[in-house]
Amino acid sequence: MNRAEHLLRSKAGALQLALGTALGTAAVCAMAFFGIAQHWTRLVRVQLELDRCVGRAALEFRGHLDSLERSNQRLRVLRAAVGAALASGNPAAISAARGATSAQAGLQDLELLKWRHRQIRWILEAECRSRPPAPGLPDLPFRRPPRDLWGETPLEWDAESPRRFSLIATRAGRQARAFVVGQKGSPAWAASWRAPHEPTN
Amino acid sequence: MQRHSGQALIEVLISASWILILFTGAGWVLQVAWEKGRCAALVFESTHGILSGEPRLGASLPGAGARGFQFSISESDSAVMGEGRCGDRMPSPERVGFRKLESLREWP
Repeated sequence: MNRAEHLLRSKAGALQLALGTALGTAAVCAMAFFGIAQHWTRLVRVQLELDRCVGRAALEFRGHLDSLERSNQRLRVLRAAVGAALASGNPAAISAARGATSAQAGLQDLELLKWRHRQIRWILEAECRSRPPAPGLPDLPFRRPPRDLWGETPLEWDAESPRRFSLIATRAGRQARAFVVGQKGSPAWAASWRAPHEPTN
Repeated sequence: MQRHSGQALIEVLISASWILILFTGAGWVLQVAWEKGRCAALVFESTHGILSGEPRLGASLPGAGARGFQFSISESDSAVMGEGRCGDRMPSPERVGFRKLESLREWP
């Protein structure tokens, strides 16, 4: 082996070493890239799952509140009809109108029961897979005064309960939070997304 | 012997050129993929932050960094739309849209 051939061989060896190092660096970079990208994808997926879970519950809650407010209006109309029937002194009309108030109150009780069932499901099924476990869904703060001469009474809002509710779920450092708020001067309720750390009141 | 050495040198140079082209191409693909992934995540984070009233421009995303990130937002009564671009190599901007909770009767 002459001097030129020896030099060439040693250069080829150096080249292989450099190529190997470059290949190894590229492989590490690619793996790091895919690892980080996967982490971002997981965060986005968790956020979307939490949003879906909390958003669905918030809309259901708002739906129940709206529905109960509307049925309360209907119950007031029916009680006015009982009043008119009482004034006319027609026993059949009185009985029919009172029966209608009972049916309407029954529907309201069913609505309250449905929400209670939803609250239990939320806890038992750990719907959002929240860590730590998500606080329970808010109560529908209504109570029904005793029946009177006009039949069943409309549901009354619990005076101590604020007209603002918060629904939260947390997982893997991500959080979804929604508010359901009573609109001023209107029986309608509104649901909206809120920042995780925004104060409730 | 001189002829063999020359041939070996040429082969080494040709191989090295191919490997260099391969590495450059792979690096370019990787960088574009990185920018695309980073941009998608940043646009998602930024738009979601604005939706929930907490603009954060992707600050909470580990490793993403908002450097060179151009972001625009459009908001209507029913939705928030975000559009972002990261760097010059991005062939098209990333777009994300979220429906506002107020606009939904029930969850779709």
